Amino acid sequence: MPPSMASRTPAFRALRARLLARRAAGMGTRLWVVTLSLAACVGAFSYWQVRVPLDGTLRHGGAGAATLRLGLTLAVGVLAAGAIAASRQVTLAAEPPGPEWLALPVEPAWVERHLASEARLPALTVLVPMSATWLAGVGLLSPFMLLALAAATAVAFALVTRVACALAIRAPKVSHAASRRLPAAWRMLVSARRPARTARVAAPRFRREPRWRALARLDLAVSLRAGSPRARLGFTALALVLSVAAWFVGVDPREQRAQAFAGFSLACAMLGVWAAWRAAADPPSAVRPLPLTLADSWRARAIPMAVLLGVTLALHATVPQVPWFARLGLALSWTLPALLVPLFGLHLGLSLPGRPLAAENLYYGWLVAGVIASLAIPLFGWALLAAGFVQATRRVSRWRTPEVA
Amino acid sequence: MLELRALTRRYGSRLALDGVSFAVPRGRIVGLLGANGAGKSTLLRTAAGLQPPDSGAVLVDGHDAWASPLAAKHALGYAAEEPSFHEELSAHEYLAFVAAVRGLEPAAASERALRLAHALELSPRLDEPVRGFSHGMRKKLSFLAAVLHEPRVLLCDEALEGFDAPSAVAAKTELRRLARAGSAILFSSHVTETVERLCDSVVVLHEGRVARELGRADWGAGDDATSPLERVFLELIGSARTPEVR
Repeated sequence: MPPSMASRTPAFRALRARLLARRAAGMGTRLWVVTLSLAACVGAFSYWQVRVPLDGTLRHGGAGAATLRLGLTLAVGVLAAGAIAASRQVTLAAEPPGPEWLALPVEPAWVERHLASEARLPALTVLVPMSATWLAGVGLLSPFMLLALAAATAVAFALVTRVACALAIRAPKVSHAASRRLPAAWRMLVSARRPARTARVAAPRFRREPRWRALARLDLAVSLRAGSPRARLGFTALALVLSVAAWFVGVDPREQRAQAFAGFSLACAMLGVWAAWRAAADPPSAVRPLPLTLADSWRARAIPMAVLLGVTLALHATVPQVPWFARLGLALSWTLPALLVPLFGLHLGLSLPGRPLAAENLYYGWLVAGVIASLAIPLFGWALLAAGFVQATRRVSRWRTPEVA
Repeated sequence: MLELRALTRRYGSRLALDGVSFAVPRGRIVGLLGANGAGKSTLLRTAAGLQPPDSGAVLVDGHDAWASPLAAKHALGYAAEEPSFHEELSAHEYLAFVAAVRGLEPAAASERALRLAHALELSPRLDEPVRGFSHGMRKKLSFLAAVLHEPRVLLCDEALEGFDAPSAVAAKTELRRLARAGSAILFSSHVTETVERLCDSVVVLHEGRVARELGRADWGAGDDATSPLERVFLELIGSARTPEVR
């Protein structure tokens, strides 16, 4: 007799608990400390960002307006969590974690529930700023109102993330007629992990060239073909163009300079993400047995980035809006982010070979921490990024030992 | 020539390789047999430079694989058990990259790549991105990339697993040709029949140690039911509590 739905509850509950425990243990003490520190920074930042305006609203608009403001802020958090869960669900749909679910005698609802719970995990990160936001209301709003808001938010959070996952799992269109009649989770599973026959590309030309240049050429081909890295490179190029164009928008030279610097910094940050991803994404079993060195891997990314940023800096230094004596200062002051940020991404990627996602996440973490630190204490973010750069540079030699890294 | 000297490798408390020493001379195909978890893949990955040993040395054509990795890797080819690639590249683009990194003469490398791809029945898909490849095709591409530069030392980790029959024959022919040309080949497989027919000698690995080195004379002629080598191998594993180390 087949087991009932209820009889599967303990098995899936135990699976979820074990997965959570393994992931928590796998992070290690150091990463926990870093994560908790970042969470504390984000929490503190969110608290002050909400607390001050909320106090103003309370004074000028009264308790009703303040409650509405806090409720709307929490609602934004709930919607963000829903978006994160849905996006994660779409990613998981392409490669569902776990065994070949279709080969197991498990009801579709259980698999859907399990995959949705996996997809909802990253959405929990939103709880950090949301909790801080809620705490910002303590002492300003009545305890009853705060408890009501907390309960409503908790219910909305659970509901919205569940609905987002359910929609995300049902969204993809299935061309295969027989698959369309299957339950949503089955439909997703039958279309996942199937290598699709892809279009042919032009045959390459075999060349004789330095190793780093062969690797740079490969980088370019991979980056232009893959979805999200191509978008990242495109965004970088757009930010670089806009940073130059910013000199021609507005009349106040200081405003123009600030706009141009913002665009340039954003481009540097995006280039760093690309460098972290590319440097970490070389598949070890394909690349390690080849006669490539750490220097080759470094040059393949650093030289194209230097050329791109050098050309952009030269363009900035030649715009007519900048007096000639200011050009030297501009070049010197902008060289720091141009060097520090993309190289930081590159060194993080090199220190985490075979783990592009970890490299990207760590890089984003440092960037967010840097931005928050600069908002708290002007220029402190640069000091933080410099510390991260030194830390990543010290670990670059791990490129040689991917298993240790 | 490939020489392994007292290789030791631990995974936590588990000893995967325990002072493994043996050599693969030029012009020989040496089989590597062992049960699951015997340490075959660890040995090959360590020899290929994918993971460092805790102690011991790997000499590839006279170069220490960890002290002078570049020289060693120029002489080395490695066909992985679970090959990974840049999924967005076509097989052809990947081979062009490997040829460039190895400093091969472009025209000759391109011609050899096409010839081998034809022999392995990979040529119709050569210009398609690797992400659409089946397991067998990925193994073929890994094998092709490993032998493209006619390596002086070739490491094959379950290299022919997943090959269809004609491609397997073509790959074995290529391996024999390389051996005749002077390559030292270490060939790991679970399929004793393949090892029996292809290899000049066999190293049996058991619980991270060399249990025995066998020459062709040790396993004699073929048999319909189970091959003599298979019987020798199973007997060795069964009575390997006190392995004989040569």
